[in-house]
Amino acid sequence: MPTLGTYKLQVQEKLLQVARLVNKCFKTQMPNIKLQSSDGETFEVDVEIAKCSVTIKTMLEDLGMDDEEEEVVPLPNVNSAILRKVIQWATYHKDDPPPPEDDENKEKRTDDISSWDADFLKVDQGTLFELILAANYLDIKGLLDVTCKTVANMIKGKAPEEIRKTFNIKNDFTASEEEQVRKENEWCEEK
Amino acid sequence: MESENSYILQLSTELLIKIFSYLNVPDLSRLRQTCKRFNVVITCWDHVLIKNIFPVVTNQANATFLSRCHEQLSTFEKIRISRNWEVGRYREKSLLYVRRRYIPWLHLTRNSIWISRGNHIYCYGRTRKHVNISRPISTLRGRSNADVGHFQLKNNSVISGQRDGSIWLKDLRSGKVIFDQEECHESDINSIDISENGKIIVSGSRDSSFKVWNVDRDSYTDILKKTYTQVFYDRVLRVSLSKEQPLLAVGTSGNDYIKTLFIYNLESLTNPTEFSTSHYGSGILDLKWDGPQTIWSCGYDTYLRLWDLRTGKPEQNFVDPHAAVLYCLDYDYYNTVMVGSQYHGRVILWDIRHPHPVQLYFTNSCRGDSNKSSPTYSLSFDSECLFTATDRNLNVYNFSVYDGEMQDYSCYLK
Repeated sequence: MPTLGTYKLQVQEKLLQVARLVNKCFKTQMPNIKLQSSDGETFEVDVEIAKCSVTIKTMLEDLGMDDEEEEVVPLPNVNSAILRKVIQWATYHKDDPPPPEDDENKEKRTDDISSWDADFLKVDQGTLFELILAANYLDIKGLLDVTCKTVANMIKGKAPEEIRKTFNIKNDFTASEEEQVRKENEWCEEK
Repeated sequence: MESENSYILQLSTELLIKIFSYLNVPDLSRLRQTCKRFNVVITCWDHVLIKNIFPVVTNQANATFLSRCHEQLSTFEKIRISRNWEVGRYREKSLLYVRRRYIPWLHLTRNSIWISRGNHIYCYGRTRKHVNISRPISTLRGRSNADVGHFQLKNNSVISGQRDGSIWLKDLRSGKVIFDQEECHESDINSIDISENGKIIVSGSRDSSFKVWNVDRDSYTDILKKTYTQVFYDRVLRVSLSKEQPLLAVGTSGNDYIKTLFIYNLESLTNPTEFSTSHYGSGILDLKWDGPQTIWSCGYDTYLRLWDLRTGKPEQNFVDPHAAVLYCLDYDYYNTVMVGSQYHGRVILWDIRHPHPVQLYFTNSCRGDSNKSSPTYSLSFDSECLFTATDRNLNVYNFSVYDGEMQDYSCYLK
């Protein structure tokens, strides 16, 4: 049984914790962070939105970048056009639940892209692939998933020649290699 | 500028795999045909990209089975070759033809195929694509002139039971005959087995008995010591020792006694567990242990069964759609059982997750004047090839082919 003295002490401690928390809440209300693109442009973003990037989140935590200091996070792998798109995507999705872990055994769907995302990704191929690279570098799983699904949908159901045309791929097989690889894959086309 | 750039080819392999993992097998297969890089990436990572496949014969999920396969197949090849087994696309070839009719027995390893003909056991070398039939690697025989009734190859030794009741054992490493003993049984030896440690031999005979022998390799004189004899009402057709447990399975012809399958504990050898179906004549022609508690059987009653020692019942029953006697069986220790039947060199392929057979294979290429009605006396398979032995032919069916005539009987099997 705790004595009255220890009980009092515990209550005091709890009160102190609450006070600290309240204090912190006021302080961190809508703090902004500055992100700098490869071409030198600076973007001011809500920390919570920036933290959907695991890369930025880890950077802030590990480097102990404090909220009060006016520090700039350099992102040398992302240019301003792409960073603007990424921030746009992250702002729209800021209240999303965290994306589920990949289930190895579940068949992966590509028909579950939301209409907002589909519109958002109606961009030229260069931008789409730069978004993939940025999402990969910044470690934003939701954005990486949806961009990769979009590319997968561009491949689905197409014949080899159509795929080459879609992605500007050069056929670098020799005639005999092409014949061999065609033979090896012929069975897939049978009903 | 734009026309020369392919953005997708600038992605790392890791990102390509991420994109490709959303695609199904036909899409991946078409993608493989677009350029060298995609072909290499997909081929190397197909085990990551393709999940949830359930092939027959090509699973290679068991180490014992894998040890007789030539290659560990890629996922694409597993699907392709499994499909060939399912639709009956293969190239069949008669490797050996003999004028006289025999009852042969086969044993398959990764690099060789063993076959008994008359009083000889021949071993032929094989590669993935080819069996070198022109010259056997080795030819074994005992003193006896009688035919080999049954033989086993285990731990680098060959044990053989002859049709005059004699038994011989040869060590393959030293090439030495360990023993060659006559009059072990009063009649034909139908089946023989040797324990994993090579110390216990079991023989089953037409004289209605099975015998357990101890091999004493130190002694010079009494090298094969009989320790136990059990006489039945019926002929003993098959004996088989469990790999995992000291258990012996004995299958009889079931003519005069309704019970046909007996499981003995090798330590006590009394009070066997007896198994039977509800009618006479369900004699057992082949047995193969599955695990420590389950064993496959096939025989005169046209059924392939999986017996469970714990329940005392066959837990799975598969009936031959043509109601023929089933002579021999082989198993991939996962989901595929193949059985040789009484007529036309017919082989039945079962995927044990389905009640109906998947496919039938008939002996078509026979040489000489052999008629095609022979039973399949023995068979064995790896992921790509099936070997069958009929009275006059040793045949190989190669299922790794890209083209080849399809002989699909699956529509009659549903």
